Amino acid sequence: MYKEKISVLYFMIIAGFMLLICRLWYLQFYERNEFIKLADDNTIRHIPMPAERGLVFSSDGEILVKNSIYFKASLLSIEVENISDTLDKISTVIPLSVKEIGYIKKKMSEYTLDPVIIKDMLDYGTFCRLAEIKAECPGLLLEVQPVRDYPFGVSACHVLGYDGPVSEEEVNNPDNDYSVGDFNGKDGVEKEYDERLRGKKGSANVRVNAAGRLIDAVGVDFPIPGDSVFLTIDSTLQLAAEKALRETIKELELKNGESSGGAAVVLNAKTGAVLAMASYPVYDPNKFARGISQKDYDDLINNKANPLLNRPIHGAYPCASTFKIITSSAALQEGLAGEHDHYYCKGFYDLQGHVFNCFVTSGHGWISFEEALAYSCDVVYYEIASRFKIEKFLKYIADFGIGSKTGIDLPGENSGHLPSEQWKIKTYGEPWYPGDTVNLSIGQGFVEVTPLQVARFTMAVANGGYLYRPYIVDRIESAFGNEVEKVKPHLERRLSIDERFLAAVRRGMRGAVSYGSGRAADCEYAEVAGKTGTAENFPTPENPKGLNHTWFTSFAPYGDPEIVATVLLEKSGGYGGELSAKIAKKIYDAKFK
Amino acid sequence: MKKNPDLSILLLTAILLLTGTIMIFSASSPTCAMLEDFNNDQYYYLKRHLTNVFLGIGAFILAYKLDPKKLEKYSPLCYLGALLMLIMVLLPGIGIVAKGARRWLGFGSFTFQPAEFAKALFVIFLAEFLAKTGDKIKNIKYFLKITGLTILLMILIEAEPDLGTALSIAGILIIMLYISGANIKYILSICALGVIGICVLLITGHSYRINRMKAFLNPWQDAQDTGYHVCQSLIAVGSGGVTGVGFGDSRQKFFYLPEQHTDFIFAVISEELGFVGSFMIVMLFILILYKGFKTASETNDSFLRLLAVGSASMIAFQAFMNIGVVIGIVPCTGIPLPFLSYGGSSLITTMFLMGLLFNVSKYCSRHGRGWELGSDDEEFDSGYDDEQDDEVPDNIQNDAKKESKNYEDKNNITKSDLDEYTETPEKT
Repeated sequence: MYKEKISVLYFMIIAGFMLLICRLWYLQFYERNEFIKLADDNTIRHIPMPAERGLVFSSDGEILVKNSIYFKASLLSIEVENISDTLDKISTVIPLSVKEIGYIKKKMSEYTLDPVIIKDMLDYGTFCRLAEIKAECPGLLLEVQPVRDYPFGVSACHVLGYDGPVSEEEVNNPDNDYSVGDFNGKDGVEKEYDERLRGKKGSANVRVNAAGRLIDAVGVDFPIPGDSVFLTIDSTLQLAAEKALRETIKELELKNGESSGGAAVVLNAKTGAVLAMASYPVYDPNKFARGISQKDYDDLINNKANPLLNRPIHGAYPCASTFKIITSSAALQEGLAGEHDHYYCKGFYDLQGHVFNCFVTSGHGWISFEEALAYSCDVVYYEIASRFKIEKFLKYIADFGIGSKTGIDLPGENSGHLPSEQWKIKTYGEPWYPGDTVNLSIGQGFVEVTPLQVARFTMAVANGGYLYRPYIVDRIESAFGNEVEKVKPHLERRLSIDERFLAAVRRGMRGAVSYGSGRAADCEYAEVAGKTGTAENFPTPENPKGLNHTWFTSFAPYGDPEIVATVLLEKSGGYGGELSAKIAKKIYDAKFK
Repeated sequence: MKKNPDLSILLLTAILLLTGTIMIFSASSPTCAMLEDFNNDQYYYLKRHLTNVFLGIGAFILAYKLDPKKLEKYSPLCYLGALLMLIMVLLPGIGIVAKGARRWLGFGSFTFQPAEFAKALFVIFLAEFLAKTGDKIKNIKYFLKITGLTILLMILIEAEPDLGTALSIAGILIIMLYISGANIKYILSICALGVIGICVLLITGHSYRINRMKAFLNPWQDAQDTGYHVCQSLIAVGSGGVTGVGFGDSRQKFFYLPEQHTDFIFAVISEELGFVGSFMIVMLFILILYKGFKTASETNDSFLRLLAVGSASMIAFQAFMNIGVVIGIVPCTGIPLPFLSYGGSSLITTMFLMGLLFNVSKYCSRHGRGWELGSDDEEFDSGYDDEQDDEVPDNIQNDAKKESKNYEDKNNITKSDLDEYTETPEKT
């Protein structure tokens, strides 16, 4: 009897134990990979190793952006024994003001786990002297501080942009691989090519216990340094353009007694590569890289001239007479004007009782089509425009790239503005009047362009109608020097203008420089062809005197165009031919001398 | 009759004792080396465990040498002793409180858990009571009497609180009642009562029990808080895989696993030695159960039989409950793993129970036909029997002979047994 009971009981208990074995098999065989992953998550910490940010070069090999090493001294409050003694010793190396000492002591008394920074941006000499006294100062923490360095300072600052600490939103965005304290590009090439420049963070993988203390090292994933970016920018042209722009604007500011601004763009006429892009006023990206002070930042933000604006692509201005290049081309193509036509300018144009003045109020008299472009006679264009159907005209204007972004590889591009009949009804509640077309023909009225858009259509006219997309990065190389990616010029489209008509327009532009309104751009080293422009402004709060914006867009050499130079001066007063053309000349001097 | 003890029991004890020593060292040394609480001494627990091992071996020898006759005679004292200790431990000023429970008696660095000792004492008392009662256990009066006495002990233990030990005692009561032929309906009734009792405890008792229950039902829901123990334990077991991460290489023992050298040592073993290791450990406990039940079926004395069943079941029940907690099929109760969990009282009690089993094995007739499993294992068993003559020291054999004399008349040796063991001359 009892033997039977023992057997029954035995098998029941064995069944229980079999349950244990099945469960063990399930956990340790079927689910093991899942648990191994969980165990790794549990115990392996990845200590980030920052990747060196990529360098930026000009096309002629100058380093435009590099990384410098500075040092940071901080105190770990939990390790400091006597704060006064420690600070006394440290101040023998770094002079600390009473205010700074007070601030550090206050911070230290909060007993945070984060190190309290004594001073950053220390040079190597200071670092060495601090390292000597480190043993006497427990809690003194010396860290390497990589800093983005812009050796050319303010030069090309708008193109290069700057980098700064990532924002909280960027850290929290799961799409980004950012952690607190990382830097990323905030503007310009630094922002546009951030992903390439950033490289890939590495990590030292260590095993830690549940309290987060290190047990042993597991391995290292070495960081991959960021790629080097080679710009199409030519440092000679860039510096020349900046210098000419700066000198002219400083003179103007002195003369007009108010702040001004300007832009200059130089393109390769055959590819659309940006050889120079200058904007004035400027800022120093090094200030951002070293941690900009609130005062400096406020000064930048509150500056009415807006130094952070990259005018060639961010600024939109009335196109003024440079627009006549488009009007001429379109009229020739449409047969509304002939290249050998002659017109009579009596100083004004009467459109059904509305009078439109030529800027030369005495009139140009008898004038050929070519001369009209060279002298920038408005009346001729009023007449031509009055023959245009606005839909047709707008189609041509859009074909020249007005109102659409050029697609340059820089952030924040402005598309300018191309009006339309519907737009006018929507905005002003008025239909499109013939007067609007007449106004449009000389680039006044509702049309707004960026200097880069002007440079782009000038390029297309110069090279026989090929509208390339402007680009700023020529190639990207890995940090180890092997070429990763070469950018090829991108042809957006061929203008719908026949080459012979474009040639007529180029003749007019050549005339402008050789005998017309743009004689100031006449360069002894190369034949320049260009078009001046003067945007007349009404007085506004930003422009109380209603000073003119002046344009000059050009290419050279006339016979076989190599480069395009477009200049804009804000609130310069005067006329494009006098001021902007001079800047273009200096650029051509630098290029062809 | 006089018999040689079953040396495979001794071998099992030795294997488990050795495994326990190694694994306690492996599980505790890295954290001890890191913590100033342990003087950064990686041998902290190993040293203390070795002391426990010596005390345990002493308990084993004591249990082995005890005269079953005298044990039977003084068994009521066992119950009273257990009762006294369990009352003492509850008295403020006498019982020592640690980790929120009043479980320890003793002075200075010498402390012990009466509840652990009560397990062994209860097994002796229960075996004697049921052997003496015999078939009368079918009578509700006797059934209620022994159940009442057990519940009294359980209430005292639960008052500490120590639900795990109380449950172990309940488990053994049910097993022993079944073996001694109590009415199945009565047994099922007290099982039902037990379930109700646990539910009442869950609702009215300590709030941590509700959390443990929740954590058991879905540990991952709150893996950082209530489910932490179970999750970390499952991670340890699962990440061990089939062959383990390697001896000494457990990662979970670095403060992830709570109680990694006591209640959750099986998780460290599973992690380091994998399924191979954990399977072996489970098999060792199955073998103890097998040995206990086989010994029981081969002895004709009901006290000895119940003693064997009780000892083996007590160890196996605790092993089942402990491993069940570690692998998440039993709610967390705080039952140590016999031999392997660090803890003096537990080890001494386990060794004492193994000693009792070893002791009883002296009095059984080998190859009893009534025990089906016996025939399967004939060769294995006799193999050990052949060796034992050379290995057992003379004095132990003589002791065994002397003690066994008292039982000769009680044991009905069959003819076949006599033929087999011709070296036993004394016979009626």
